[in-house]
Amino acid sequence: MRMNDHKDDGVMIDALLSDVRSVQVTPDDSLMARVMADAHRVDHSEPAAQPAASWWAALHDLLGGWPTVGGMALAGVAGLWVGIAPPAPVENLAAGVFGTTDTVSLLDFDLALEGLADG
Amino acid sequence: MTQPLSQMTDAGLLSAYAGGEPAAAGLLAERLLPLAFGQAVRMLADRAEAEDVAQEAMMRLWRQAATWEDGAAQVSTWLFRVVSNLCIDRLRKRQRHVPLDSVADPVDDAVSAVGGLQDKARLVALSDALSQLPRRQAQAVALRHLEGLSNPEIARIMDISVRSVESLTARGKRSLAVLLAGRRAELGYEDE
Repeated sequence: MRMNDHKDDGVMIDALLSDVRSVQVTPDDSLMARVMADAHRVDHSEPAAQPAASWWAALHDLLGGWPTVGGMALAGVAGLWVGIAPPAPVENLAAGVFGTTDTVSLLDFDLALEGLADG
Repeated sequence: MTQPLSQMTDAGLLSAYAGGEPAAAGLLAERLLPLAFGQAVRMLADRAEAEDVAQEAMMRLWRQAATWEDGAAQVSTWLFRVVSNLCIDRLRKRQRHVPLDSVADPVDDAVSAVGGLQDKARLVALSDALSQLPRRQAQAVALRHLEGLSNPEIARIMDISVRSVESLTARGKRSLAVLLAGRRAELGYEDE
């Protein structure tokens, strides 16, 4: 390609851009009507979309608030304590239902508790 | 004393519209829809597609109205950004789905918004070439040379530096020259 061709192509692009820029068009009435119908359809009284809540907040809401969450936490702690150091009535009840019970120490903590009980 | 709607800025009209003044939307559409539609026609060379883009851009504006922050950006600048992004999306799809030979076909009545076969042929040729440019080159060239925006305005719209705008438009024009080389006679520029 000759040097003049490059120059001519550049000149042509300038002319083409200028010509297309000068193209003037107007939207017709039907487009304006559609745009106005859209404008009337948008409801600004609707609250804006809220940001996504955290998993904890979602769980809190799902369970019904602090009273439920507090009750579940208390039940969890009580269950854990019964598992670690079952009171005599629980062991007796278990023996009544299942016949005999064997207590297996899984934690050194149990030994420490027994030591304390033995004095 | 309340300012007449006709004397309000675009942002003021948008706020009035969000506040429940439907006439404000009418005035805003009269001001902005011709800009959005014209920009879309010049980039897409297709009336139906340009109408879809202009309507979609205006819909996004209506939805933004209630949360529009006055002073954050000019409404027209925001609209230039939305329309150019929507147009580039369509140009990229066109480039992916339409064989190159077919986009260079003679002009039909798809561009009925403009008169004159030569004008239509030039519109279509430029739109097809824009579709083959990298996205940001096409956007910068269109905003600079088809909409006549200044480089600082384009820098704000594209969220880049003025120097980057200069670089993108220069490279974009060089790419267009390569893509359209050999079509001077067809487009009526042989003797210019």
